[in-house]
Order: sequence, then C-alpha cells, then structure tokens
Amino acid sequence: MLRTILPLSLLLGAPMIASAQQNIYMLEYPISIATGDLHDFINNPSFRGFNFGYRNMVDVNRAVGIDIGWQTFFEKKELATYYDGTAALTGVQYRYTNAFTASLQVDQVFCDGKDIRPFIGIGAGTAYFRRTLDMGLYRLEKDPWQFLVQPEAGVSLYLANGNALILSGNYYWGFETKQLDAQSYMALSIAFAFGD
Amino acid sequence: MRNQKTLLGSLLVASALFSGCYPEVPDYIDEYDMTYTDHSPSFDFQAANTYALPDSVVIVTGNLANGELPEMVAPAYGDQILGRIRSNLNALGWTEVDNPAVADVVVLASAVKTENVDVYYSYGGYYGWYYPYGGYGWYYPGYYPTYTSYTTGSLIIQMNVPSDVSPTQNVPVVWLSVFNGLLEGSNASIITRANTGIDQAFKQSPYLQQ
Repeated sequence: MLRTILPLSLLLGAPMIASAQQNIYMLEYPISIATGDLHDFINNPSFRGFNFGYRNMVDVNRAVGIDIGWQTFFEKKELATYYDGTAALTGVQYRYTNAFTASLQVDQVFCDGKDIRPFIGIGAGTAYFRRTLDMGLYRLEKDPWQFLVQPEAGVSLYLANGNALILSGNYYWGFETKQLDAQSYMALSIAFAFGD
Repeated sequence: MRNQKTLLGSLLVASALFSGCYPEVPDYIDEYDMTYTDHSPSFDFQAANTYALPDSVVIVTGNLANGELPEMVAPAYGDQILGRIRSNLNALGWTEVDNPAVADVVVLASAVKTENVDVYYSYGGYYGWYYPYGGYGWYYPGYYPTYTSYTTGSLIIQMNVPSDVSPTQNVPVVWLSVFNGLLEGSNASIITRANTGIDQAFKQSPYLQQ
C-alpha cells in the first residue's frame, strides 16, 4: 500500500533538494492563473500543467539552470453572440491556450546551511503559445513564439536524503508579437527536487 | 535511484492524466450549431416593409444546366422552415405580399449539404425559375460572407431588393443569414435545430425591426 501511496503523494508535490549538491532536478506541479490578454481570453485557472527544472549550484548561494514547462488553459463559453462590424455570430465557444515555455534561470538562494532556504530568481527564454478558438464547426488558431521573461520566488524545505520540497511563485510573461498580444500568467507551484 | 524512477514514471502518468491540449470538446450535436448574419449598412430597412417569400426551400447541389429546375427540400420540412421565417418577419412588423415584383424585399431560403459551396456565386441560376427576371446574378453590396465553404449542412436565408437591379443585372443582397451545423440525428431534430437557428438569426438582427 505504501508503495502505491508514495508515488501518488509525490505527484502532488512531495519533495527534495540538497544544500551540498551540485546538480538539482525539479519536477513541478503548477496551478496557474491567466493575466492580461490571456485572462481576457480564458479566465479559468488552470490545473493542467507540468514543469521540469534543472539547477547547477555555481556557489553556495547562486544557481543557474533551465526551466521547461507546459500549461493548458481552457474555458467553455456558453451560447453567446459576438459582433464584428455588421456581422454577428452566435454559438458555443471552446477556448484553449497551450503554453510551452523554456527559459534559462538564475537564482539567488539565501540562508546557506539552513533547512529552509528562500530564493529569488529571474530567467529569459521563449514561449510557444497555441491559442485555439473552436466555434461551431470552425477553428481559429494562433500559435506565436514569444520572447519570455520569468521571474520567480520561493522557498525550499529540506527533507532528507538530499531531497527537498520547493514552493514557488512564477510569473510568465511572453512579449507581444504581430500575431498575438503579450501572453502572461502566474503560477503557484509545488516541486519535488533531488540532487545527484 | 529506484525511487526516482518510480517518481518519474508517476509524474509522467500524472502529466498524461492532468494535462491535455484540448481537455474538453462539445458533447452534444447542437453545440456545433452556429448562426451567422450580416447586412448592408447602407440599406434602410425601416424604409422597406413588404416582403415576398417563395413556397419552397432550394437545395443547392451544384451548377444547373440552363433551364433545369433546382431540387427542393421536401415540403414537409420546407414548409416548417418557411413558416418559421414568415412568423419571425411578421413579428418584426413586415407585411407579406404575393407578388415579388411589388415587394420591397424578396426573402430566399436554401439549404446546402455539400462542401466548398461559394455563397456569392451559387445563386445566380437557382432562382431564375422563380423570378420573371431570370438570369440575373446576385451580389453583395460592399461586403462578403466571411467564409465560403460548408462542410456539413447550412440553411441560408437572404434578403434581396428586386427593384435595385444593377447595370450588370445583379440584384443586391442586403441581409444574409447562415445557420450551420452537423447533419446528424432525425429529420425532426434537424428541423428543430434549424428553427432555433432561424429564430436566432432574426434575434441578432434588431435592425430588421419595423
């Protein structure tokens, strides 16, 4: 039974990190809230997502690495009429946005040697947003690549055996492109971290 | 290491369970229904108050040979569609007349169940049988539908002004409605959905009110 429960608990965020370890791997479950133009399109929070992170401790207080993530936003708009000039269109809409992100991150970690270590960080990279609007039998789709900035802040809670639980808040900001306005969302995440 | 592999496997399963690019899709056929309308901003609908309505709904099947009559929707269903159009127009204050030549507008209904039918080019010949000025084409005065193909079924209603024939023998279409959806279910259920679409077309066109 324990062998069954343990992996499930890890899914929901179980834990690790090692203060003395050079390489740290993070498996993260984020809950995200759309902001800005993305919020105008979909205002439901997203519980569908997954992130992977890697950090190398370049010294006791500083880490560099990468974050790779995927988040799916969805909202069903009940029957409504939409106007465009002299035209009007009535139907049920299914709205989706899939965000795929990848960024290089730099973190400043505080309280060396403690079990609880807060950190702040910043990163930059790219995001691929696939915005889909299904209405009736028709689909409108935009899928720009946007320059991504990702600030983050959080705290790591040391557990045992080099493992840690990380709670963090991340903000994903994709810059406006010709195809689509800036897409952004905020994520609250719980991560399981372990080192080699 | 074994625990880490277990963890990774669990997370992969979790990501498959909790993530999905398109987590929900329509459950019911009528969720695919869509009603589109457009109109000419330069036409004064309040200055027109009589309409003529043909007694059949044309099925658009493709190009017709010269003199060939178009196929019609069976009267059992066509009459329901035309009745719904009539009741909506009457409720908006329009008055029906029998003679299309004296009507301010002529309202035409047609059904499409083939792909890649272009609304703009499809009507020139179809109504030649109905009007004394057969052979005229149809055109949209300064605007066009935003889509031109229909992958399933569509009911198209257009309002034309027979008195405003252009030098090139075209008759303007001042109002257009397209109800589009899946042709699934019984004929009765399809007609029910079509009637809902007809009601919606007039509801979202308040400028038709007299």
